Amino acid sequence: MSGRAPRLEVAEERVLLAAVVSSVARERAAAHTRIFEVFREPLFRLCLHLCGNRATAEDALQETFVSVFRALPGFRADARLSTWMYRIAVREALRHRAREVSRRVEGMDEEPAAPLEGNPAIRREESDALRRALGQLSADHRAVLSLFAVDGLSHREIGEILGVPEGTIWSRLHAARKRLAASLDADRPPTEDRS
Amino acid sequence: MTSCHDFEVAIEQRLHGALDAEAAVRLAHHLTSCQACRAFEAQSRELEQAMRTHATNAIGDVDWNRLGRDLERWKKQMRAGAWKGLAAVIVAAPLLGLVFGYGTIATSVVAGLAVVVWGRIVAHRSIAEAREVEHAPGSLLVLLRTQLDRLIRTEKQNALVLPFFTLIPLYGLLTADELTPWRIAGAAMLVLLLVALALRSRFVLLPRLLRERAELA
Repeated sequence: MSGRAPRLEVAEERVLLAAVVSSVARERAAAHTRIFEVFREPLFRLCLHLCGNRATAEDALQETFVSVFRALPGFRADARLSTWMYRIAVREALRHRAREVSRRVEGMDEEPAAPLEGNPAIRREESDALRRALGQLSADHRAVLSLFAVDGLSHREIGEILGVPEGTIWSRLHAARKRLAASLDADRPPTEDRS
Repeated sequence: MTSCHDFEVAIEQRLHGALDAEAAVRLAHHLTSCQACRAFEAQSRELEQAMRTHATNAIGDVDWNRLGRDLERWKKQMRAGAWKGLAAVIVAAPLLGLVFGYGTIATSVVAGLAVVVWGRIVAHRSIAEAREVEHAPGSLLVLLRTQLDRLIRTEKQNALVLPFFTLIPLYGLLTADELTPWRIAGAAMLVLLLVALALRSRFVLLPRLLRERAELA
């Protein structure tokens, strides 16, 4: 596994939650900056998988932080801050993705995917194929695959984020994986089968 | 675990460090004799790695400073939003008074303030939505679809109700003491605005929301 998503310790989370309702503007700003720095990369990874392209993922990420900063003073800490933020990110990313699909129907072009490492030409093709295959999945399947691909999230956390029981998470992941593999196979050019 | 399907789920669990020792032994034993499950495991690892690599590479292209600046700009806009609304009321009320008679300035101010309050309610609703995510029982996807359904209902209502609001400026014209060009132009602009908003709801926003709903289905 590549580097795990940075996490906030419970103690630091409490300090930050106290700071966001502070009467001192500098303390509030510092808390926002810290939250942005800790969560921006894992949330971006999630948004990218759910949205399918970088520009839409960036918009979704920004909306996520807007929603989080707006609602943070009223956050009652029944759940972990990270779980709540991932829930908001999934919601925003799926909304942006749906809007993007809707706009594409109205005639907008699709942005090509960022290439994978290695030979740029071959890797870009693979990257595009992956994005197309992910795009063919249902929102539920895309969400579960994306959350598992974000490092550092356990299946319990993913269950909490999506609001589904743990047992359902595994069966949903398995079904999503099968669908993704089938989409990739269907997308593969016939010449590759002969090699 | 008896079937390949069960072992495939176990492979997913092992991949994510959630398989207990006993099940891991059974899986290892099964993998020695099942080519299909070995292929599934290799493919799962490969796909997961491809997704991570795809995201990691894209992260390098993100301009975090720009995103940070945009967030700061949004915070400033939020603080300035209410004042902008009040300023718009102060500017618009005399203009409406010019069109509908100075006796209507008070009504215009009240209507303008109502618009500002409505804007604040909409802003608070989005905060409530973010909070709802914290406490909502059940699936997040179900919650998202419910929110979208609410928006669809609102746009359907707008498409139906807004045309009726055109009766207000028309009533203003019918009951006016004198039909000046300014008055007629003002009323016509209001009617056009309301009709445009209704048409936008019916033919732009509603189809878009229905497509979004279908995408989330």
